[in-house]
Amino acid sequence: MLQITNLVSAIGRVEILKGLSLHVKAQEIVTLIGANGSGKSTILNTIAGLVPVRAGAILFEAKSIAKLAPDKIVREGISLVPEGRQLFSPLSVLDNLILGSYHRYGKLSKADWDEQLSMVYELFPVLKDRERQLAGTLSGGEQQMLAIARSLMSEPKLILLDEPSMGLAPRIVEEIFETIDELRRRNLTVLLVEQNARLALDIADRGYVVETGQIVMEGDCADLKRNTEIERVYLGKTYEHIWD
Amino acid sequence: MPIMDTRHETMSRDELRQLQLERLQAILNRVMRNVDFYQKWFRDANILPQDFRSLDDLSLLPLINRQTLVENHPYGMFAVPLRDVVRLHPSQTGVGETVVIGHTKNDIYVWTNLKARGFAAAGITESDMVLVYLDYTLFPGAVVAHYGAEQLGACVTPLYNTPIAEQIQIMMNYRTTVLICTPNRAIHVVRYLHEKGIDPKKLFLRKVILVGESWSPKIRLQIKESLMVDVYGNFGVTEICIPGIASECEEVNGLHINEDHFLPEIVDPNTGDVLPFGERGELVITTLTKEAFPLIRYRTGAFTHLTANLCPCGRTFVRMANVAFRTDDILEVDGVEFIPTEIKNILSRIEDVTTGFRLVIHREGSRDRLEVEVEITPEIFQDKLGALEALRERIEEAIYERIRLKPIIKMVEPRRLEDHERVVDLRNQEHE
Repeated sequence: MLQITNLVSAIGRVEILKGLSLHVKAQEIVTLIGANGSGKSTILNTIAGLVPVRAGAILFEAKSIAKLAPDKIVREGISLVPEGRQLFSPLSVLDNLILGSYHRYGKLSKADWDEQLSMVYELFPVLKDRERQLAGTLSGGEQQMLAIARSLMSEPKLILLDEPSMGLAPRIVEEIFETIDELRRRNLTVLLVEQNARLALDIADRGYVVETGQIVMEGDCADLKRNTEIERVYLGKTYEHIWD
Repeated sequence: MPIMDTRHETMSRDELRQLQLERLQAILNRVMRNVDFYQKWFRDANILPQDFRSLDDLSLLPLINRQTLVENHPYGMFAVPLRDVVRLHPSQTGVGETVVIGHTKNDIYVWTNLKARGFAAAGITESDMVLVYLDYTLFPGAVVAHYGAEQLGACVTPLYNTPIAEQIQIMMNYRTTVLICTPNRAIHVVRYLHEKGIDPKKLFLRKVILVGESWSPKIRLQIKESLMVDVYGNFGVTEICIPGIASECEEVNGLHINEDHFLPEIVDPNTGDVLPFGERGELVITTLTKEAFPLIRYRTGAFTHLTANLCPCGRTFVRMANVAFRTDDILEVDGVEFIPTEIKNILSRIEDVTTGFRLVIHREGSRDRLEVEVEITPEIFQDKLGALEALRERIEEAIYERIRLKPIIKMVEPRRLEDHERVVDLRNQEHE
């Protein structure tokens, strides 16, 4: 579904991604793990068109999207849930959701739109309860749910999820990850960037390890979890833990 | 036959190329970070891992061979700290030429699965009774064949250093359906049954998997017809993954290379240049997923060619032709396995002997006879008979000490063996 080859992108004069290749197949959950500043979020932002591509190719369903503007990329079926949610805090939950489908404004029949909304509410019942509440007044977990829900309103084929667990209590994180699992059941494809490598490797099918803008390992999550280096660096196990 | 790992074994060539590129870039990044040898290598070639934008760019890098590994022995080529290594396999061709190959948990897991894949391709199932007759200490492939068959759910019996009569008895008693062994051992079985007039149908054998050494189509036919079994070949090299690099499927039209883990190239053995696809040359392998002991552009010493046309079995991996001869072939003489290079190393430590030698293996009745022809220096040739006799004994003892096999030593004048093949196996010709 998504095929990236030799991607180079830079923020200002600093080259962040140094010729990196990865792919995501339809209905797969693929995770990127790596330390802070390794370039994981830049990968998502580059796919979404927020960071310009300097070299390399990004093919989405065999069509090049490397030079497209972000709004065109959304129209192709890719939706980004940015790090830190980036909600419209002074607007209501419903307005946030409406804005998620903005590019289809006027093109979508009322019935279709209602159906989309009820699908999203079914996934996140709490949002229906808080439909009129201002987004800024939601709890952290609810905000994250709203951010995911907003991205779903564009009816994407591929969701780019950036750090969905950030700043959330463990119980809420679990809830969020359950919804990611639910997305899989709804035949959506997810590219997930997550600090919590353990959770990410548990939920995803495959993973890539990113170090300083390069990929140093690719594999099924089960294989990556068996790698002692990953255990040490990203799963926070000490030697005693590994040996216990 | 069911394909064990359909996701990989039948993936489209485009998808495979993408996966290979990703894994190649990842492994180049890893070796660049973790292995001094490769760091220097990249620096000398004045390139960076990110310069590899396609699989063809691999030819920018020089080739490495067994000598590279010997020079960096023991841990110079390891890409992970030793504490992550869970198994070491020494690969010895004599003193001073030792190489040690390390494996992480994942390496072992992948290796075992690749072997299981190969066995499944040969039609082995969980209802099979498998007998592995291989030297578990000398030959790393023995352990892998063992675990690979277990992974499939088959019932495995390990066996080695057992008289042939006992082996046959065990195979009858246990109702062995699959025999995994060297071609020579399989021939041994054929011959024994023939001599004792045992009907091969009394065995329950349905498949023989040949590993460890190369074999000719004639030998395959002989085993197939005499034992009334299907015979399948495997390929691997000790330094990478023996015998898990490639295996034959039930179509028997070449060995499918596990391309999701190994990137094959065929090069001109003299110039090292990559040859056009389909041409015959030396097989060069780049490991794509190895953690502990990744090898980039490793010369295997095997001569073969590749075929890409689609196999009726549905696997999309390219196939390599059966390897007719390899430099690191294991020889089995009277149940004892050794590598010809071992003899070379023994000889190199004996005075008055030049490097030229030839191994001739005969069959006498039910026993094999190893004859070692050795070139000796002109000086000693002109010497007294006593000196010659003493030298002959020295050589004999040195060889016996190392491989536990009493050879017959023939001494010949210098340069006599120059244009001859290293190993002449007359056992099968003499049998017919």
